[in-house]
Amino acid sequence: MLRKLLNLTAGLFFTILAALPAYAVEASQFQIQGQDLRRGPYSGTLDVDPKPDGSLEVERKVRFLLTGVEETQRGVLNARGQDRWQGVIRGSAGITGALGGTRTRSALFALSVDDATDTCQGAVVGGRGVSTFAGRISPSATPTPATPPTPATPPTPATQTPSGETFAGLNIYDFDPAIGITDTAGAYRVAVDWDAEDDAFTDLLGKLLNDPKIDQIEGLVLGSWGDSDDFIDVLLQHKAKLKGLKALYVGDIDYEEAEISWIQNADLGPLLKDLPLLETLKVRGGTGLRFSGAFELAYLKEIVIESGGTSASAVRQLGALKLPALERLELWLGTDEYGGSSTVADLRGFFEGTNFPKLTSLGLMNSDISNGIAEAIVKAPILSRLEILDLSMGTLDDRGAAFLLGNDKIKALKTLNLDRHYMTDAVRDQLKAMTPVKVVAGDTELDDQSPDDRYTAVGE
Amino acid sequence: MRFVVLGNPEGKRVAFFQRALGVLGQAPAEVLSWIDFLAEPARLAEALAGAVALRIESTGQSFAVLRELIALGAEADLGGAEPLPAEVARGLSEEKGRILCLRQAHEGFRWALDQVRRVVPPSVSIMNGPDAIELMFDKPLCHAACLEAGVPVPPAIRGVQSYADLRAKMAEAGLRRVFVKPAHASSASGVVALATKGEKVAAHTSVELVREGSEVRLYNSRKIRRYGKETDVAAIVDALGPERLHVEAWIPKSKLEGLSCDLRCVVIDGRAKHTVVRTSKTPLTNLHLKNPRGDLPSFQARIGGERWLALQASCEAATAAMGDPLYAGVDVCFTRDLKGHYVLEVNAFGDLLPRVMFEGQDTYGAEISAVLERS
Repeated sequence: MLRKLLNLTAGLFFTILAALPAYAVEASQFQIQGQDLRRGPYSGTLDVDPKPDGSLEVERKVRFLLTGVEETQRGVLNARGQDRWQGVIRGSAGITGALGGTRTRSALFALSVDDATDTCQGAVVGGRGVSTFAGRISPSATPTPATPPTPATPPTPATQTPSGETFAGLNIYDFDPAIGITDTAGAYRVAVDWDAEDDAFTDLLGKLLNDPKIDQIEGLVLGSWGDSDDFIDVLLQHKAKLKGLKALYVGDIDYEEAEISWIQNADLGPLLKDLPLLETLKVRGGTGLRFSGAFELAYLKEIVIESGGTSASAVRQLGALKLPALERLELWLGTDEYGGSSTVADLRGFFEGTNFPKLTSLGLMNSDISNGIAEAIVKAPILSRLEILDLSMGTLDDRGAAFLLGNDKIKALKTLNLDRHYMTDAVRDQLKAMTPVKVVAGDTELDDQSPDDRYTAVGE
Repeated sequence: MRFVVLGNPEGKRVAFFQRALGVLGQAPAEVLSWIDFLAEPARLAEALAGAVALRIESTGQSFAVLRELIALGAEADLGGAEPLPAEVARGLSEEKGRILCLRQAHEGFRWALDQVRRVVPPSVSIMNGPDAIELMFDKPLCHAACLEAGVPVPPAIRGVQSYADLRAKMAEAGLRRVFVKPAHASSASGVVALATKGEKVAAHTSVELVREGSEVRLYNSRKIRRYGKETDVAAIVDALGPERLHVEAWIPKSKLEGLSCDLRCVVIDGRAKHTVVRTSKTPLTNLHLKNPRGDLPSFQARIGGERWLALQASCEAATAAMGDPLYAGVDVCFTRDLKGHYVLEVNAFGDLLPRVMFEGQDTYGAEISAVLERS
């Protein structure tokens, strides 16, 4: 049993008064059950042994229910309040990762004890994840060597909390093989940590693709794949199960994981042609990206391609797809330096628009040929159908702007986005004065020191 | 109760502290300026006569103080680097943002902390004492202390001297993306986020590289630049090398509305209290770079109570590992999948969070209350 030496009012919980002696517990054993964010549910025992200075010696023995791995950790916790202790525990836990050997095996351990109910709550904090548990004092009050964990039914999690991010209106879940697919109306993301093993991505992707509910999910998001640029082969092996996909995001990877031009992408054509229900496609990273095979996707409404450079062949292949439902296309063309080799001629498919009868929003962005695009677009058949034209993030200057100024079809647009440009203020203001089109154009990137410098917004 | 502040009297930190004293019905603190103290440390003993508590504030934002610290560090061992002679240092004129003599200035600061140790009588409590401040201003030691205390910190590479050395040690450690930080700098000063992939290299940094002939000069800037040429990246790292470097794995931070985010959590009197979420389009989330704040309650709701408590436990343990100073500003990030978190920095003067309230008090108010309760 636990005994408090002092009766303390609950209100004092949040006030640490260093002068107060920490309350004492008798040596006790708790039966604990917990959940590790990475390794799943576990159960075991926690022995606590109070020392005269108010600290607690603890030993935690747990067994992970999914893997059967057992782990023992010991440490000394210092009092951090009347019923809270904190300290470091070290133990046998083998934590693996690319840095395996150099990683510390100690962990931060925080424990609080509720005297009234003989229960405890605790957390073990490591960089790779947090594990929390709750415990109750053993019915057999005497501390005994750890008995095998109580055969409690493992708390099988039936649901997973969404990541808080969405894609194509679907909640994104980070796929956890221990939980599996629980919400088929969601998008499942496969991504590996910054320090993952080489084949971790393909392993995880394989587990997702072998989940019994894989053929029911609506969205698939491929996040950081490390060096596993053979991900496309894995997808192709299982593509029959993905026929129901409505939303696909290849390359949910940002500057903290990889420079955009370093993302090794793939020929997505062989996969896409067999995703007949696809409505939304987003891709990040232009290196190696292709759309081979002039196929048709009847329901594809939206395409976003973000890159520091999209190759001429990828641009032409995209323009050759038959996309009768496509309403919105956002294509970052990039610069030569990062593989953006396309010329205005390569954009003909989009300018003619015969393959995209429903296209009303066209973005040819982040381009170092923005002036040429402006010159061509005013003569393009597609223009009279567009509501939104986006030439932002590129190198548009007064020369390109001259083609847009006063053009009746440009004026008839709902929105013309020219943000992040190299126009002079005077020309920018003339454009903004056009009606009824709403022209978006902030401050110029023109630099008096180097007036000839032109860069795309994302040039890396 | 009389407080004394050793700080830069014209700075907003001192003003906020005075205001907090007023709110708590205390008399204004007597302020001794760093520049006067450095000239004559005994003045601190005079100022402390009859005082109960001393607050040591940042020396930042004053070039006159920085110049003097550099001069005072001229005699120290700079790991073989040639010091700037004291008389040259005292004759420096301010060049906005110039990164200069970080290590030498730190040695001067250590000398100053020694003077504090020497003149402060035991009857005076120091809100954050010289030992803790010194530890927090030494990133490699601070990292090692956190590691020892079980606080989750990114893996670090020790003793990097130059760019070539950095690349060799990164290869050895299997790290391809790292943060390179001067060991003794505050905020984002001189910080380089370095990514490599085979032959490719890119540095995202607040540092601006200026070459004039063969001379390389570095400036801090509010703009984050990207350097993609290895010669530029090497020039920056080599210029920073003699200042002592701390190198850590670059942990991709969790995202909030499409932006990278981390948290600044101020631990006061042992408890994690005032906390802000910082967001950024760049890898450098420091508040000084004019980054917007994220919404704390929605972030807390997203991660859930257990992970929040675990985060607080880490911040409290990190502060305790610094020798239990009265307060510290702990920078901590969640991993991309929100499962883990890492302590990135423990800042001795990291409590400047104007208008952020916790239990009805700002950081300064909470710190003063803690001193009053203890005495």
